[in-house]
Amino acid sequence: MAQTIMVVDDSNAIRQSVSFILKENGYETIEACDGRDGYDKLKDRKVDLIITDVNMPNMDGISMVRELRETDTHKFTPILVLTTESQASIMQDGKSAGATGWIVKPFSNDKLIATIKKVLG
Amino acid sequence: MYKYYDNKLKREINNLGPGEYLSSDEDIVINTVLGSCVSVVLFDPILKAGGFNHFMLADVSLNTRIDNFFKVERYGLYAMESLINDFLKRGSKKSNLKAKVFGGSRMLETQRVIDIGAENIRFAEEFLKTEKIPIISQDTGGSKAMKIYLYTKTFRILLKRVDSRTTELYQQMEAYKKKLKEEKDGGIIVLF
Repeated sequence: MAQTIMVVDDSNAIRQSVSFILKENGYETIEACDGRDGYDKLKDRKVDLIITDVNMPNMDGISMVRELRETDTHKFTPILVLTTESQASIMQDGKSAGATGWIVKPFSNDKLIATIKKVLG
Repeated sequence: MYKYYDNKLKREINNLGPGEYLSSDEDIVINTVLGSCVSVVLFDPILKAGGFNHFMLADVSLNTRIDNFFKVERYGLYAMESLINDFLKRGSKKSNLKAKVFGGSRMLETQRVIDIGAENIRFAEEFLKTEKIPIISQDTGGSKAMKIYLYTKTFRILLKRVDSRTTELYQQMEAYKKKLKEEKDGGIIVLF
């Protein structure tokens, strides 16, 4: 059965782009348009991996990671942050919140898929 | 990016090169020279902030079937997302943003392979449509390069057509293409 990945991003274009790459590589995707939407959709639902942006309205990606780590469902779900942000301090915030990894855009499709495979074991 | 004093406008100008972006809620002027590259200018009328990027697509080629740019084009997405994030971090709501689009001329050297200027324009239009950011005006295409100046507090644009065949413009474009090629493998990946 295909593994399911949640893509959280406030940009329709970027959600389309990432979901397309994932589907092309055999993953199923579900989408959320910001951190709040992501949290609401995920709190009672298991997925194999979460990919999230950082800068989003309503709830940013790092706050969503922090809140999801408080739930029993997503204490250990791998979460990759996919963002244009590359400052060490923001990366550290992501790490402290419980993110599994950090990918700085623009990313190569091959490298994204390789990272996902590595994280999913 | 660099700053210089413009004697005609009698003020400091912030000059953007290919691949760069800048926005501000202060009263500044940003300019750039566009050949086949495109600049999307964004303005937040509530916060009175403006800015723009300067980019070209790197992942399209003659063999790429471009029915949806977002599947293949990561540099355009990156350029747009970086600029929008600059506004969001300042407190803008995406729903308040307005856009103007410039550039995308058909430069002689690119005619042989693909009209990259037209593809750059199409990408900008498709992206803005998908993100529901209205285009207030645009001056795109043609065969001449253009120099644009943005007044960030008012969304005012000064536009001047310039000779596309300047060595400086070609050198700038070639350097940008080379940089994109070198970055083909993508950005930083850190696993904690």
